[in-house]
Amino acid sequence: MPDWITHIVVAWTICRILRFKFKEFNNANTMIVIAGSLIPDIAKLVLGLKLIGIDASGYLAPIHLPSGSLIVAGIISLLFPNKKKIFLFLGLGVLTHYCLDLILEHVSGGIYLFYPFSWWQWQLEVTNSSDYMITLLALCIAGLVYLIGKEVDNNRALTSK
Amino acid sequence: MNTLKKVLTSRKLIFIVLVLVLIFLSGFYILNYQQHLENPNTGVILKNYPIGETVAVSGIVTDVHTDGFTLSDNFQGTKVSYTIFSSVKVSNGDQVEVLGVLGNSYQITASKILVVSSFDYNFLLVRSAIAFLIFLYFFSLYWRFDFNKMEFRRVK
Repeated sequence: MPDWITHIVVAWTICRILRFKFKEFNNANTMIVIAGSLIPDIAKLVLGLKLIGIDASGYLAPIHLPSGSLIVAGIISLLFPNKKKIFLFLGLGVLTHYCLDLILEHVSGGIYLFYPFSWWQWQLEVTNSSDYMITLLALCIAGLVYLIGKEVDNNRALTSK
Repeated sequence: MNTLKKVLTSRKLIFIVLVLVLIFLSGFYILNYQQHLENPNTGVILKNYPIGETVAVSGIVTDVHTDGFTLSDNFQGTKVSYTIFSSVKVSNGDQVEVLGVLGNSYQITASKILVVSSFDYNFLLVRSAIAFLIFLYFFSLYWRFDFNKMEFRRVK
């Protein structure tokens, strides 16, 4: 997995860009998208369980597959008033997570993107999980988008006066 | 009709259905994934030891020798120590993925190795944990959990 800084920052950047066009991507809903981007890594609870000698990787692995992640997103969306909308925002977050995970390199296999309909494994072999250049790149792009967003908001505020 | 609609859209029912689907997906995955692996992993090796085949295993480096290293993996509580023959430099505690040919006594002649150093791996976990805490703070600025209604409410 890329680190959670990357997942969070990329989800935020996408929401900030979409906010230029769609008002729905406000700060509150951006938080939902970011939460969605972390859903697949709920499966990483196995790391904690491994510390106490329990290997539950097989049982939790489907959460780190798009179908499993979307079902968890569905369960989480039940905890919000506007369930359908929240599910879509969580789903967008899940999508950003897999776009990032796809670039990771493994010696064999990859992600079962279309499980349970296909067992074909996908990977783009661009970088490994500990490469913090990806994190730095994501932070730089987010910084740039933040500055552009601020400028655009200022211009909009001036023209509306 | 209205009662049926109410039942079908009830939160509890949707929750139960989604959990059942998730359990089904997990069960189906556990029963079938080993047949679809590109290369056998530790689970398959423990089951039918495919000697001479190219396998893909991962784990933690526990010992370094002149001609390779010892890799420790854990499959559902069963610990396995592989002797990996490779010229790639690793250190104790490194997280390693190995692709190679399986020989006798859990020996693997590696053809491809990916190494994440112990420091890099721990650094990844620490910065992820910090990022998560920061996210929780910002999330709490916009959403609060209402225990009476059992749902999140917008704060602002």
